[in-house]
Amino acid sequence: MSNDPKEPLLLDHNYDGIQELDNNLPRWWVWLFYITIIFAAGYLIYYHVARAGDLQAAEYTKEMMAGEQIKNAAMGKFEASIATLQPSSDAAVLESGRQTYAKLCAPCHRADGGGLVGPNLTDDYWIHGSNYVDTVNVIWNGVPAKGMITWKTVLKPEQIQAVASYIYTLRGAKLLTPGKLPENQLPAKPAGPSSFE
Amino acid sequence: MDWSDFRDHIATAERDGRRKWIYPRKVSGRFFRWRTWFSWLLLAVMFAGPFITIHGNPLLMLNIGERKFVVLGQIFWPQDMIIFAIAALVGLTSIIIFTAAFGRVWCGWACPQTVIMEMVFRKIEYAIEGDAHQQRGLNNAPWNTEKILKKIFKHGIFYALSFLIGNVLLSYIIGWQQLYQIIVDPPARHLVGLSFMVAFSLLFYGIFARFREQACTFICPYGRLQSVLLDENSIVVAYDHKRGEKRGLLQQKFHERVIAGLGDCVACNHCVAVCPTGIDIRDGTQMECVHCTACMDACDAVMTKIGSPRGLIRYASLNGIERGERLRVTPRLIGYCVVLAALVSLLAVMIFTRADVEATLLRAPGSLFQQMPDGHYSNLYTVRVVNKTSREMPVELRLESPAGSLQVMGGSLVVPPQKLLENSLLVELDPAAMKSGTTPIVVGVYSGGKKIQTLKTAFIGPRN
Repeated sequence: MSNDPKEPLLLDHNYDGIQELDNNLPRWWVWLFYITIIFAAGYLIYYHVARAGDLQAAEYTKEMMAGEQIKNAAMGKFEASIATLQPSSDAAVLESGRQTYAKLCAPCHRADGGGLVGPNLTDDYWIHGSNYVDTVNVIWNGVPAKGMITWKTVLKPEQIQAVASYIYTLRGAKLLTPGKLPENQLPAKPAGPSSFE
Repeated sequence: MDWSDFRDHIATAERDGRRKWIYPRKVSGRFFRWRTWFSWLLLAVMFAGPFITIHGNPLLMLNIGERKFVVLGQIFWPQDMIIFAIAALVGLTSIIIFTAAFGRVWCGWACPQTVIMEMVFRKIEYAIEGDAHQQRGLNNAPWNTEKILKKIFKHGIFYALSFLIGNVLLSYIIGWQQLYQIIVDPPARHLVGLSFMVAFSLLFYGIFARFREQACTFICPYGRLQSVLLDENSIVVAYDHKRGEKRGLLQQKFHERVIAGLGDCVACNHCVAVCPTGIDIRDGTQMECVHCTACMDACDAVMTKIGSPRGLIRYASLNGIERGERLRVTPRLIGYCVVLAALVSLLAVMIFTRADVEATLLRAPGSLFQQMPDGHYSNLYTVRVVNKTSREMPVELRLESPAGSLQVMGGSLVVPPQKLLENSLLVELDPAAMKSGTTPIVVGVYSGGKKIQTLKTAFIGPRN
């Protein structure tokens, strides 16, 4: 771009009368610009040419996989130990189990354990086994066919231990209102015309 | 182009682009006094701010890490983003309207760059190195003991101040309690944070020790936008050229000056000497002029000394100067103020009528419907309630339609302050009210007897 020798600062392009002066830029401005170019080149090579660094998607996947591994290890460890579990009698554990029960189990098993949608937990009639280990297994795996959801995806191992311990203390509890009758003693459902008739 | 034409180049750069350091002279006068008082007030607010609480909430806390923003005691969660968006729009409009009416008042009176630069760092510089000519002399002098000591002392204080202010700003992000904990902890436990603070303080120090007015001319967009925000009726720091020109040295008596066609400006160049951005206000309104009013004080002092009236450089509009009008409250100014007040009220209403509590209703994961012993059907839901206040909030849920019963598990819902509570909900519908398959239901959320939210969801039942 050769400039008019009489007006050296004025550049020769002209847009609707708007012209540009060719002042020297401040040094800090220029050097900051150069540094950003160098940084950009380095960044480009590191992440997109040499692929030495992880992009966001890969970073996320790595973190999630690491988390999954930790979770699966903990769950596997607990599952392997279920057979040897004993109910806890620690007051703090039972209290935390009681709170979990009130929030998650009471809707179906009633707040006092008498049974509503789910069976009565206070009587001595057990559908899936009467040992403590059986209780833990039912909570851990659920009974999807009957509507009991698998709680291993919702509760952590120590929460399952806590709520199972609390339920263990409900056995033989005195109920204020009659609890649900055991399955084999429930009145038969009335046999009427099918709704398709 | 003429290099001496102020329009063709920036005042703080030499021809080759190197920085032209500015040594503004110390100024004194009524505007400087008022500005100093106002700056002390603003600095007091900045230092005291982290410790002020409204209704138990901090005055201002922008906790980006926890995604919790507290402004004037009101907590804003990520779901309140819509208010932030509207606030940004209102803010932008307010800035435009305010500048059109009052000009660049913010820059000289309230901007942290000016307040901290002129009222803190520059005052310290004057105290250690002296006035402009003494500073110039010191910088041109060889490196003797006195110069080394003065420079180390000055820059040491500058960096220490930067570190202090950096920590104060950090307490607006994480809260002063957490900052205090970090301070009393051994540094080894917070190495990352400490190195960040050291680096940030270095940047802060760099801005006030070295960068100075370049922040106003190169970085801040407000200065560059002035050319579209101002008009001929906006108030600016203006040189009354009608009164001042032609300028000439004070060599004769006043009436002789009038005969010679000279105006009130005695070409003393005090206005240029005190300018922190290095411009000549007599050239007119310029992008670099931050309206710091130093030139007003300097000129007033000279005018008073020679017996002329003050205000040769004063707050005026372009039309005011051209037509010789005094600054007065015009209908235009009043109109702008009314619009501004309306916008601010709109924002205040939006903020203060925000719901304190917000509830979300979801089906219990993996559940469909359950049949009760009496043959009725029930659905299990999970309800999540977030309490945006700093007080405990009891929340009541009622089934509005259709007929049935609603039972919250575990008794009543009492949400702790600033927390999210999750609970189970059992809804049982009258068989007569149930439709085949899905029945839409409406649940009302009440707090203190008042309905604060309506939730709509679906109730699943058997198809028949």
